[in-house]
Amino acid sequence: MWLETVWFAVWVVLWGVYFILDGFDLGAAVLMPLVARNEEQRGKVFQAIAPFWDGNEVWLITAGGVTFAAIPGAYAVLFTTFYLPLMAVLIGLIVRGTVIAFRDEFDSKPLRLLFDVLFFLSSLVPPLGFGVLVGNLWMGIPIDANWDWSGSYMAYFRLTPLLIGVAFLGIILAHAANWLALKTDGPVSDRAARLAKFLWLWPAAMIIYLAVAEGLFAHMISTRPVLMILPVLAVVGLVAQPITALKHRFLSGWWLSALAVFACLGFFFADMYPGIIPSSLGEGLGVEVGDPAVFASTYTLAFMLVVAGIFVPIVIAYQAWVYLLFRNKVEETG
Amino acid sequence: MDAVLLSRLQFAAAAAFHFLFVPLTLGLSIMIAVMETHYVRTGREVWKRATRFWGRIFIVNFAIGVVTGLTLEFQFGTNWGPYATFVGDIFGSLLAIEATVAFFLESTFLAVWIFGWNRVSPKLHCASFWIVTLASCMSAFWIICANGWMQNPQGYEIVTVGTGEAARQVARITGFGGFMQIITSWTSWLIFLHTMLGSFLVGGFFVLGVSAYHLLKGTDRPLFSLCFRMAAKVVLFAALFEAFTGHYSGMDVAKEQPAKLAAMESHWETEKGAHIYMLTFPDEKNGGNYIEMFPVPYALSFLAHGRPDAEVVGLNEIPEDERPPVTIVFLAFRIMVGLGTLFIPIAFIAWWWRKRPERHPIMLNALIYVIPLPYIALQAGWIVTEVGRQPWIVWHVMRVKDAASNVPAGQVLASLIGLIGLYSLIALVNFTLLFKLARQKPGATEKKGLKGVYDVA
Repeated sequence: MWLETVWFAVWVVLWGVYFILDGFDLGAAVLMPLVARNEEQRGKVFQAIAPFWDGNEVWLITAGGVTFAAIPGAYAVLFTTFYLPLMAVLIGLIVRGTVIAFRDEFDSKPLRLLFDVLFFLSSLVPPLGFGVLVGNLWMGIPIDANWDWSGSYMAYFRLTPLLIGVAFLGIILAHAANWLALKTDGPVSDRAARLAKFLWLWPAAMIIYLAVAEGLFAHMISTRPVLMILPVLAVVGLVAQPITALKHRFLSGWWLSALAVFACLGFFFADMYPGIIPSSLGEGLGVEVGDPAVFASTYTLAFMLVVAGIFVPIVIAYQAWVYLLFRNKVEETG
Repeated sequence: MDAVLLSRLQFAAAAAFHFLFVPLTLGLSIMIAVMETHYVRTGREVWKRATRFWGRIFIVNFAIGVVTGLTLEFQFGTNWGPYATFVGDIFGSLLAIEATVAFFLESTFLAVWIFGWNRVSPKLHCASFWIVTLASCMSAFWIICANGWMQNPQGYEIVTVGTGEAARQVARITGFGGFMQIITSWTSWLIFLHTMLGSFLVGGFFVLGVSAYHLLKGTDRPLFSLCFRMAAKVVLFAALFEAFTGHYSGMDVAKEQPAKLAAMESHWETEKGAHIYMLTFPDEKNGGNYIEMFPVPYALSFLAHGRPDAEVVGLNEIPEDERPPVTIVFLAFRIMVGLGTLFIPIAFIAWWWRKRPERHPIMLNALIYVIPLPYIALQAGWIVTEVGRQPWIVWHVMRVKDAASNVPAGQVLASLIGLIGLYSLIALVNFTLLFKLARQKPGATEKKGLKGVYDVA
């Protein structure tokens, strides 16, 4: 059981790193209409994420691959039950990657405008989709003893998961505003800085609403009060935003919004534990950490833990080097 | 249509589309790495121009390869849930290792290469591309290990986990020994080598064809002469060894997957001293061939088992519900072998005239039209491998129909239509762009201010 619990934690951490990293480049695209007023400024938004986005997205492939390897039961049930939402996320990611690859190779103005619109739309889907998905998991989904969806698929669109998704998008956007303010100069940076001052209000207000009206924290307070540190950290990360933005300390702001992203995700999964995919139809029906049919064999779990323990720090080291290598602001294009 | 068939169509479409991009990535990367190494060693500007010219094509191609690969990973969960649960221990581990040790290197160091022309030393810049190249090869190795395991499963045991109604059967690696067995599987290594050499053919003939186009037009003759010469060596080497690996792969199929071999050759009756018929066509309904002409005596026995009198299993000996679709596999195999054979003389001619290719305009013109042929051969080869594996998803362990997710057919249909529509659009834009880039004069459109390959600041 301890190995399964370690893997559950590693799994959540991998997804957390993915949302921190790909979060800011997805969010930058969503903020593009607000911070960039012409083609040149939009080009800057592209350049602010250009050397990083692809390496960031590999964290998704790795998080997915690790789910497949270590928690195959959860992988199968999660991807099957959320078939259409995940296909939408996938199409969003495909369109976005394609747009980034093609945009600079075409000079036609209308085509570039089309690419920019597609870039915005396709980047909106993954953070919102994943946020609503996490909200659905936390609420529990209608799966029966065979882990098959039972009832209407409209259950995706219950109010609470939608609100959680929108709140998550807000955190991601606050995170992205810091990045854009940090990586660009001129009007794009100024507008992003202004957004960084106020965007945190959006998720903060929704968290308060969810806490009061939906009892977001009731279960955790009654069962694992110590872990309330997670939502507290998330709130601290958000509330600090106007301070760092006023002082133009956008790198600190970025780390704080990263903390908010990570702690927010951590809260939901910590609250669900030992559930991975809880069922709303009854106790014990969902996918849980204790179930031997959910995880890979002890040998594979141990082996993969060694692989991850060796390679993930190496990956972090060379990716950090790349972030340092390209730490400059995106310069004026001529 | 039921969800299983729709899921199969979707996976086939997604895999085939992904594999339009991967071979060029693999084949082109090694040549670009060598070009840049020449530049770093000799300091000759022409090699830098060459590196940048092919590099720009590589980048676009690579990006589409990455995003279309994502679809494949998603689908194991979305469409093949029971399969994922069953093989997660094995297939999932290999995929996770691939992502952790290879994908990160590829994507991260490609960014260093694209954006780092003026930020890292020329040696480190060149090393970045070698890392991309080697990581691409590694990623091919891991995913083909996973695929090879589906063809010839080993190093595993089937165990029942859970109790009562929740009990499930899953395949599990038998410890470190099992893992070693999986990654040293002869089947996987043959498929890996055959795929790598095939990718060199794609990349080599691509460079040959594009260089031929420019040599005919007379643009940047020094650059394209050098590239022509390099690619001619690559294709000759690849075409010759492709035949060897293909032969040994065929022998391995004869041993491990006799039903697949029988379908490839449309061979119906088990017999000793089996012939190959140059002209034949399967008649699946009646369990035989419509026509059998021009036999090459004992060729099938000899090629499949190394002895002219060896026994070759025929399709009629295999239960009907364990036979792959014969006509598709048979046709795809003949297309692959036919093209593979054709590549040897073409490669030899290009190699023979590699020093003065501009004196042979007919050859140059022809080479432009050879570019798509290795693509077709590789697609056909994977059709043989994957359709020939039917009706099994894991050979003689799990059937495809038991592996599909319980998703409403309507949802699968919606995603299938969405993906095919999107892919068609991407293909259209991508190939338009590749044509444009390939026909450009090297260095003609260095974009000012763009912090890309063409950044000179």
